[in-house]
Amino acid sequence: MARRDFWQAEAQAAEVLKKRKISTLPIDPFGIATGEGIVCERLHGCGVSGCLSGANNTFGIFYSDSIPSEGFRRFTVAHELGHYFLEGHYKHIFADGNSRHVSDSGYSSDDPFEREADAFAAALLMPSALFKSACSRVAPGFKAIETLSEKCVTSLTATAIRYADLSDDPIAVIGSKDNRVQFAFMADLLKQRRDLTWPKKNSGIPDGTATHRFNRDPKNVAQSKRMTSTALMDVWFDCGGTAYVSEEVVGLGPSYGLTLTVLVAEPLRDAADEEEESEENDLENMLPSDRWRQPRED
Amino acid sequence: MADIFAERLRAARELRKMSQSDLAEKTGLMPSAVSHFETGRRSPSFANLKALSDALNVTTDYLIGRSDDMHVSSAVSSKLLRHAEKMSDEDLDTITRMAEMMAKKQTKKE
Repeated sequence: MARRDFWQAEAQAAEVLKKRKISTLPIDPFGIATGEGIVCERLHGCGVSGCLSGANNTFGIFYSDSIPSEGFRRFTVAHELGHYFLEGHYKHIFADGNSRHVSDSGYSSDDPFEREADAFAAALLMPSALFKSACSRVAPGFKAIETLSEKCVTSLTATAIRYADLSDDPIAVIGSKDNRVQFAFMADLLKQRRDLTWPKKNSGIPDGTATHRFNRDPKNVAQSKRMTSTALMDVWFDCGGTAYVSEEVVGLGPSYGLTLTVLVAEPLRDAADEEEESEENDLENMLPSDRWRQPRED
Repeated sequence: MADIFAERLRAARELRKMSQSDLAEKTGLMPSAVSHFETGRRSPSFANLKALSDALNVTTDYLIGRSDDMHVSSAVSSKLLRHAEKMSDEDLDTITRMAEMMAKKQTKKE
Protein backbone atom coordinates (compact mmCIF):
# COMPACT_ATOMS: atom_id res chain seq x y z
CA MET A 1 0.00 0.00 0.00
CA ALA A 2 1.68 3.20 -1.11
CA ARG A 3 1.53 6.29 1.07
CA ARG A 4 -0.83 7.93 -1.42
CA ASP A 5 -3.25 5.03 -1.00
CA PHE A 6 -4.10 6.00 2.57
CA TRP A 7 -7.10 8.07 1.47
CA GLN A 8 -9.42 5.67 3.30
CA ALA A 9 -7.57 6.25 6.58
CA GLU A 10 -7.68 10.01 6.02
CA ALA A 11 -11.39 9.95 5.12
CA GLN A 12 -12.32 7.65 8.02
CA ALA A 13 -10.46 9.80 10.56
CA ALA A 14 -12.23 12.90 9.22
CA GLU A 15 -15.57 11.08 9.48
CA VAL A 16 -14.90 10.08 13.11
CA LEU A 17 -14.16 13.71 14.02
CA LYS A 18 -17.13 15.07 12.03
CA LYS A 19 -19.59 12.67 13.68
CA ARG A 20 -18.41 13.79 17.10
CA LYS A 21 -18.32 17.48 16.09
CA ILE A 22 -14.65 17.76 17.10
CA SER A 23 -13.09 20.80 15.47
CA THR A 24 -10.36 22.04 17.80
CA LEU A 25 -6.86 20.89 18.70
CA PRO A 26 -5.70 18.88 20.53
CA ILE A 27 -7.81 15.84 19.67
CA ASP A 28 -8.47 13.47 22.58
CA PRO A 29 -8.16 9.83 21.39
CA PHE A 30 -8.97 8.53 24.90
CA GLY A 31 -12.27 10.44 24.84
CA ILE A 32 -13.13 9.06 21.40
CA ALA A 33 -12.41 5.52 22.63
CA THR A 34 -14.52 6.01 25.76
CA GLY A 35 -17.38 7.40 23.65
CA GLU A 36 -17.29 4.15 21.64
CA GLY A 37 -17.47 2.10 24.82
CA ILE A 38 -13.82 1.01 24.43
CA VAL A 39 -11.91 0.67 27.67
CA CYS A 40 -8.38 2.15 27.61
CA GLU A 41 -5.89 0.72 30.09
CA ARG A 42 -2.18 1.20 30.74
CA LEU A 43 -0.32 -2.08 30.78
CA HIS A 44 2.76 -2.60 32.92
CA GLY A 45 5.84 -4.29 31.48
CA CYS A 46 4.34 -4.66 28.02
CA GLY A 47 6.88 -5.33 25.26
CA VAL A 48 4.82 -3.63 22.54
CA SER A 49 3.37 -0.17 22.28
CA GLY A 50 -0.32 -1.05 22.10
CA CYS A 51 -2.98 -3.68 21.68
CA LEU A 52 -6.63 -3.92 20.60
CA SER A 53 -8.63 -6.66 22.22
CA GLY A 54 -12.17 -7.69 21.43
CA ALA A 55 -14.65 -10.43 22.27
CA ASN A 56 -18.43 -10.55 22.33
CA ASN A 57 -18.98 -6.89 21.46
CA THR A 58 -16.57 -5.62 24.10
CA PHE A 59 -13.38 -3.90 23.00
CA GLY A 60 -10.38 -2.68 24.91
CA ILE A 61 -7.20 -0.81 24.08
CA PHE A 62 -4.10 -1.44 26.14
CA TYR A 63 -0.98 0.66 25.86
CA SER A 64 2.42 0.20 27.38
CA ASP A 65 3.35 2.25 30.44
CA SER A 66 6.94 2.17 29.21
CA ILE A 67 6.11 4.66 26.44
CA PRO A 68 8.04 7.78 27.46
CA SER A 69 6.04 10.59 25.87
CA GLU A 70 2.42 11.65 26.08
CA GLY A 71 2.48 12.23 22.32
CA PHE A 72 3.52 8.63 21.65
CA ARG A 73 0.89 7.25 24.06
CA ARG A 74 -1.82 9.26 22.33
CA PHE A 75 -0.55 8.10 18.92
CA THR A 76 -0.60 4.48 20.10
CA VAL A 77 -4.24 4.74 21.22
CA ALA A 78 -5.15 6.53 17.97
CA HIS A 79 -3.37 3.76 16.02
CA GLU A 80 -5.47 1.08 17.78
CA LEU A 81 -8.58 3.16 17.07
CA GLY A 82 -7.48 2.94 13.43
CA HIS A 83 -7.72 -0.86 13.63
CA TYR A 84 -11.19 -0.42 15.16
CA PHE A 85 -12.57 2.10 12.66
CA LEU A 86 -10.95 0.95 9.40
CA GLU A 87 -12.73 -1.48 7.13
CA GLY A 88 -11.30 -4.96 6.81
CA HIS A 89 -8.88 -4.71 9.74
CA TYR A 90 -10.76 -7.36 11.74
CA LYS A 91 -9.52 -10.00 9.30
CA HIS A 92 -5.94 -8.90 9.88
CA ILE A 93 -6.34 -8.63 13.65
CA PHE A 94 -8.03 -11.98 14.19
CA ALA A 95 -6.16 -13.73 11.38
CA ASP A 96 -4.24 -15.92 13.83
CA GLY A 97 -7.35 -16.94 15.76
CA ASN A 98 -6.53 -14.69 18.72
CA SER A 99 -8.90 -12.25 20.38
CA ARG A 100 -6.30 -9.54 20.56
CA HIS A 101 -3.82 -7.89 18.35
CA VAL A 102 -0.57 -6.23 19.34
CA SER A 103 0.92 -3.31 17.45
CA ASP A 104 4.13 -1.38 17.33
CA SER A 105 2.80 1.97 16.19
CA GLY A 106 5.02 4.77 14.97
CA TYR A 107 5.88 4.19 11.32
CA SER A 108 8.18 1.26 12.10
CA SER A 109 6.24 -1.52 10.36
CA ASP A 110 6.14 -2.50 6.70
CA ASP A 111 2.77 -4.25 7.17
CA PRO A 112 0.15 -2.36 5.10
CA PHE A 113 -2.52 -2.68 7.85
CA GLU A 114 -0.13 -1.25 10.44
CA ARG A 115 0.86 1.54 8.10
CA GLU A 116 -2.80 2.31 7.40
CA ALA A 117 -3.49 2.45 11.15
CA ASP A 118 -0.52 4.83 11.50
CA ALA A 119 -1.98 6.99 8.71
CA PHE A 120 -5.35 6.99 10.52
CA ALA A 121 -3.68 8.00 13.80
CA ALA A 122 -1.84 10.87 12.11
CA ALA A 123 -5.01 12.07 10.38
CA LEU A 124 -7.04 11.77 13.59
CA LEU A 125 -4.61 13.65 15.84
CA MET A 126 -3.45 16.11 13.16
CA PRO A 127 -6.53 16.69 10.97
CA SER A 128 -5.56 18.11 7.60
CA ALA A 129 -7.53 21.41 7.72
CA LEU A 130 -6.66 22.28 11.33
CA PHE A 131 -3.02 21.28 10.85
CA LYS A 132 -2.62 23.27 7.62
CA SER A 133 -4.25 26.30 9.19
CA ALA A 134 -1.83 26.17 12.16
CA CYS A 135 1.03 25.48 9.72
CA SER A 136 0.35 28.62 7.68
CA ARG A 137 0.96 30.82 10.73
CA VAL A 138 4.59 29.75 11.28
CA ALA A 139 7.71 30.03 9.13
CA PRO A 140 8.88 26.72 7.61
CA GLY A 141 11.46 24.75 9.58
CA PHE A 142 11.93 22.97 12.89
CA LYS A 143 10.18 25.75 14.84
CA ALA A 144 6.99 25.00 12.87
CA ILE A 145 7.23 21.30 13.82
CA GLU A 146 7.77 22.20 17.47
CA THR A 147 4.79 24.58 17.49
CA LEU A 148 2.51 22.06 15.76
CA SER A 149 3.69 19.28 18.08
CA GLU A 150 2.66 21.38 21.09
CA LYS A 151 -0.71 22.27 19.55
CA CYS A 152 -1.56 18.69 18.57
CA VAL A 153 0.18 17.03 21.57
CA THR A 154 1.96 14.67 19.21
CA SER A 155 5.59 13.53 19.17
CA LEU A 156 8.14 15.52 17.17
CA THR A 157 8.64 12.56 14.82
CA ALA A 158 4.93 12.05 14.05
CA THR A 159 4.45 15.81 13.67
CA ALA A 160 7.47 16.11 11.36
CA ILE A 161 6.16 13.35 9.08
CA ARG A 162 2.69 14.91 8.93
CA TYR A 163 4.31 18.30 8.32
CA ALA A 164 6.19 16.96 5.30
CA ASP A 165 2.96 15.44 4.03
CA LEU A 166 0.85 18.60 4.30
CA SER A 167 3.26 21.53 4.02
CA ASP A 168 2.99 23.94 1.08
CA ASP A 169 6.67 24.81 1.46
CA PRO A 170 9.63 23.01 -0.18
CA ILE A 171 10.63 21.07 2.92
CA ALA A 172 11.83 17.57 3.76
CA VAL A 173 12.23 15.68 7.03
CA ILE A 174 14.72 12.89 7.56
CA GLY A 175 15.11 10.64 10.58
CA SER A 176 18.53 9.02 11.01
CA LYS A 177 20.36 6.72 13.36
CA ASP A 178 24.09 5.88 13.25
CA ASN A 179 24.27 8.00 10.09
CA ARG A 180 21.75 5.75 8.30
CA VAL A 181 18.39 7.03 7.02
CA GLN A 182 15.48 5.59 9.04
CA PHE A 183 12.78 7.52 7.21
CA ALA A 184 12.60 10.37 4.72
CA PHE A 185 9.51 12.33 3.72
CA MET A 186 9.21 15.35 1.50
CA ALA A 187 6.55 17.95 0.79
CA ASP A 188 4.68 17.96 -2.53
CA LEU A 189 6.73 20.88 -3.87
CA LEU A 190 9.88 18.75 -3.70
CA LYS A 191 8.17 15.54 -4.84
CA GLN A 192 7.18 17.30 -8.05
CA ARG A 193 10.83 17.83 -8.96
CA ARG A 194 12.03 15.01 -11.19
CA ASP A 195 15.70 15.94 -10.83
CA LEU A 196 15.98 15.02 -7.14
CA THR A 197 17.35 11.66 -6.00
CA TRP A 198 15.57 10.94 -2.74
CA PRO A 199 17.44 9.47 0.30
CA LYS A 200 16.24 5.88 0.69
CA LYS A 201 15.70 3.97 3.95
CA ASN A 202 18.97 2.51 5.26
CA SER A 203 21.09 4.57 2.85
CA GLY A 204 23.96 6.61 4.35
CA ILE A 205 23.61 10.25 5.39
CA PRO A 206 25.67 12.27 2.88
CA ASP A 207 29.19 13.06 4.02
CA GLY A 208 29.85 16.75 4.52
CA THR A 209 26.35 17.58 5.82
CA ALA A 210 25.64 18.98 9.30
CA THR A 211 23.58 15.84 10.04
CA HIS A 212 26.59 13.62 9.28
CA ARG A 213 28.82 15.67 11.59
CA PHE A 214 26.10 15.74 14.29
CA ASN A 215 25.58 11.96 14.22
CA ARG A 216 29.30 11.26 14.64
CA ASP A 217 29.01 12.22 18.33
CA PRO A 218 26.31 10.06 20.10
CA LYS A 219 26.15 12.65 22.91
CA ASN A 220 24.47 15.07 20.49
CA VAL A 221 21.48 12.72 20.16
CA ALA A 222 21.37 11.67 23.81
CA GLN A 223 21.53 15.27 25.07
CA SER A 224 18.97 16.51 22.52
CA LYS A 225 21.43 19.00 21.04
CA ARG A 226 20.68 21.10 17.97
CA MET A 227 22.67 22.32 15.01
CA THR A 228 21.78 24.66 12.15
CA SER A 229 23.64 24.94 8.87
CA THR A 230 23.20 25.31 5.13
CA ALA A 231 24.12 22.77 2.50
CA LEU A 232 24.18 22.57 -1.24
CA MET A 233 20.96 20.94 -2.38
CA ASP A 234 23.12 18.78 -4.62
CA VAL A 235 24.80 17.17 -1.59
CA TRP A 236 21.46 15.88 -0.29
CA PHE A 237 19.64 15.22 -3.55
CA ASP A 238 22.32 14.71 -6.19
CA CYS A 239 20.55 17.23 -8.41
CA GLY A 240 23.43 19.43 -9.56
CA GLY A 241 23.10 23.21 -9.50
CA THR A 242 24.06 25.72 -6.87
CA ALA A 243 20.81 26.02 -4.89
CA TYR A 244 21.05 25.75 -1.12
CA VAL A 245 18.92 24.17 1.60
CA SER A 246 18.84 25.23 5.23
CA GLU A 247 19.54 22.23 7.45
CA GLU A 248 18.28 22.02 11.04
CA VAL A 249 19.43 19.00 13.03
CA VAL A 250 17.92 17.95 16.36
CA GLY A 251 18.74 15.01 18.66
CA LEU A 252 15.53 13.37 19.91
CA GLY A 253 16.99 12.12 23.20
CA PRO A 254 18.15 8.79 24.59
CA SER A 255 14.78 6.97 24.50
CA TYR A 256 14.46 7.29 20.74
CA GLY A 257 18.13 7.56 19.77
CA LEU A 258 17.06 9.31 16.58
CA THR A 259 18.23 12.44 14.85
CA LEU A 260 15.66 14.58 13.07
CA THR A 261 16.80 16.71 10.14
CA VAL A 262 14.58 19.37 8.59
CA LEU A 263 15.63 20.67 5.18
CA VAL A 264 14.07 23.83 3.78
CA ALA A 265 14.88 24.56 0.15
CA GLU A 266 14.97 28.00 -1.40
CA PRO A 267 11.61 28.98 -2.90
CA LEU A 268 11.35 27.12 -6.16
CA ARG A 269 10.71 28.77 -9.48
CA ASP A 270 8.93 26.54 -11.92
CA ALA A 271 9.78 26.33 -15.61
CA ALA A 272 6.54 28.10 -16.64
CA ASP A 273 7.42 31.12 -14.48
CA GLU A 274 10.93 31.27 -15.90
CA GLU A 275 9.66 31.00 -19.46
CA GLU A 276 7.08 33.71 -18.87
CA GLU A 277 9.71 35.96 -17.32
CA SER A 278 12.06 35.27 -20.17
CA GLU A 279 9.33 36.21 -22.68
CA GLU A 280 8.65 39.42 -20.77
CA ASN A 281 12.36 40.30 -20.87
CA ASP A 282 12.48 39.55 -24.58
CA LEU A 283 9.52 41.83 -25.07
CA GLU A 284 11.18 44.62 -23.07
CA ASN A 285 14.31 44.36 -25.19
CA MET A 286 12.40 44.58 -28.47
CA LEU A 287 12.12 47.65 -30.61
CA PRO A 288 8.60 49.14 -30.62
CA SER A 289 8.18 48.09 -34.26
CA ASP A 290 9.04 44.43 -33.38
CA ARG A 291 6.57 44.46 -30.49
CA TRP A 292 3.88 45.58 -32.90
CA ARG A 293 4.55 42.56 -35.07
CA GLN A 294 4.15 40.07 -32.17
CA PRO A 295 1.09 37.84 -32.68
CA ARG A 296 -1.75 38.77 -30.34
CA GLU A 297 -3.32 36.16 -28.06
CA ASP A 298 -7.01 36.85 -27.45
CA MET B 1 -13.87 -15.21 6.75
CA ALA B 2 -15.56 -12.57 4.58
CA ASP B 3 -17.97 -15.18 3.15
CA ILE B 4 -18.98 -16.37 6.61
CA PHE B 5 -19.60 -12.77 7.64
CA ALA B 6 -21.67 -12.06 4.51
CA GLU B 7 -23.78 -15.20 5.02
CA ARG B 8 -24.29 -14.71 8.73
CA LEU B 9 -25.15 -11.04 8.38
CA ARG B 10 -27.89 -11.84 5.89
CA ALA B 11 -29.14 -14.79 7.98
CA ALA B 12 -29.26 -12.73 11.18
CA ARG B 13 -31.01 -9.84 9.43
CA GLU B 14 -33.63 -12.19 7.99
CA LEU B 15 -34.08 -13.86 11.37
CA ARG B 16 -34.84 -10.47 12.91
CA LYS B 17 -37.21 -9.78 9.99
CA MET B 18 -35.42 -6.62 8.95
CA SER B 19 -34.88 -5.26 5.46
CA GLN B 20 -31.46 -3.93 4.49
CA SER B 21 -32.91 -0.42 4.85
CA ASP B 22 -34.25 -1.20 8.35
CA LEU B 23 -30.82 -2.43 9.39
CA ALA B 24 -29.11 0.57 7.81
CA GLU B 25 -31.43 2.93 9.68
CA LYS B 26 -30.87 1.15 12.98
CA THR B 27 -27.08 1.18 12.62
CA GLY B 28 -26.58 4.56 10.96
CA LEU B 29 -24.96 2.86 7.98
CA MET B 30 -25.82 3.54 4.33
CA PRO B 31 -28.20 0.92 2.85
CA SER B 32 -25.60 0.36 0.11
CA ALA B 33 -23.01 -0.52 2.79
CA VAL B 34 -25.28 -3.23 4.21
CA SER B 35 -25.83 -4.57 0.70
CA HIS B 36 -22.07 -4.56 -0.01
CA PHE B 37 -21.37 -6.37 3.27
CA GLU B 38 -23.92 -9.07 2.40
CA THR B 39 -22.47 -9.63 -1.05
CA GLY B 40 -18.91 -9.65 0.29
CA ARG B 41 -17.88 -6.67 -1.82
CA ARG B 42 -16.84 -4.74 1.28
CA SER B 43 -15.45 -5.81 4.65
CA PRO B 44 -16.74 -4.09 7.77
CA SER B 45 -14.72 -2.33 10.45
CA PHE B 46 -14.98 -3.35 14.10
CA ALA B 47 -17.12 -0.23 14.59
CA ASN B 48 -19.49 -1.47 11.84
CA LEU B 49 -19.48 -4.98 13.32
CA LYS B 50 -20.39 -3.65 16.74
CA ALA B 51 -23.25 -1.53 15.35
CA LEU B 52 -24.55 -4.47 13.28
CA SER B 53 -24.34 -6.97 16.10
CA ASP B 54 -26.05 -4.58 18.54
CA ALA B 55 -28.86 -3.97 16.05
CA LEU B 56 -29.27 -7.69 15.33
CA ASN B 57 -28.79 -8.86 18.93
CA VAL B 58 -25.98 -11.22 17.98
CA THR B 59 -22.34 -11.08 19.01
CA THR B 60 -19.56 -9.79 16.78
CA ASP B 61 -17.84 -13.14 17.26
CA TYR B 62 -20.82 -14.93 15.73
CA LEU B 63 -20.96 -12.54 12.76
CA ILE B 64 -17.30 -13.03 11.86
CA GLY B 65 -17.38 -16.80 12.42
CA ARG B 66 -15.37 -16.95 15.65
CA SER B 67 -18.33 -18.49 17.48
CA ASP B 68 -21.15 -20.71 16.25
CA ASP B 69 -23.55 -19.68 18.99
CA MET B 70 -26.15 -17.67 17.17
CA HIS B 71 -28.11 -16.74 20.27
CA VAL B 72 -27.61 -13.45 21.90
CA SER B 73 -28.12 -14.74 25.38
CA SER B 74 -24.58 -14.30 26.62
CA ALA B 75 -24.15 -10.74 25.38
CA VAL B 76 -27.61 -9.50 26.35
CA SER B 77 -27.79 -11.33 29.64
CA SER B 78 -24.44 -9.99 30.76
CA LYS B 79 -25.65 -6.48 29.86
CA LEU B 80 -28.90 -7.04 31.78
CA LEU B 81 -26.98 -8.49 34.69
CA ARG B 82 -24.77 -5.41 34.89
CA HIS B 83 -27.85 -3.18 35.14
CA ALA B 84 -29.68 -5.57 37.45
CA GLU B 85 -26.87 -5.43 39.99
CA LYS B 86 -27.63 -1.74 40.52
CA MET B 87 -31.45 -2.11 40.83
CA SER B 88 -33.71 -2.33 43.87
CA ASP B 89 -35.76 -5.51 44.51
CA GLU B 90 -38.91 -3.59 43.58
CA ASP B 91 -37.41 -2.46 40.23
CA LEU B 92 -36.17 -5.97 39.54
CA ASP B 93 -39.67 -7.32 40.12
CA THR B 94 -41.17 -4.74 37.74
CA ILE B 95 -38.63 -5.44 35.01
CA THR B 96 -39.08 -9.22 35.35
CA ARG B 97 -42.84 -8.87 34.87
CA MET B 98 -42.26 -6.58 31.87
CA ALA B 99 -39.88 -9.13 30.36
CA GLU B 100 -42.47 -11.89 30.80
CA MET B 101 -45.11 -9.76 29.06
CA MET B 102 -42.76 -8.92 26.16
CA ALA B 103 -41.78 -12.56 25.72
CA LYS B 104 -45.49 -13.61 25.62
CA LYS B 105 -46.18 -10.89 23.04
CA GLN B 106 -43.30 -12.14 20.86
CA THR B 107 -44.54 -15.77 21.12
CA LYS B 108 -48.02 -14.71 19.93
CA LYS B 109 -46.47 -12.85 16.93
CA GLU B 110 -44.49 -15.92 15.88
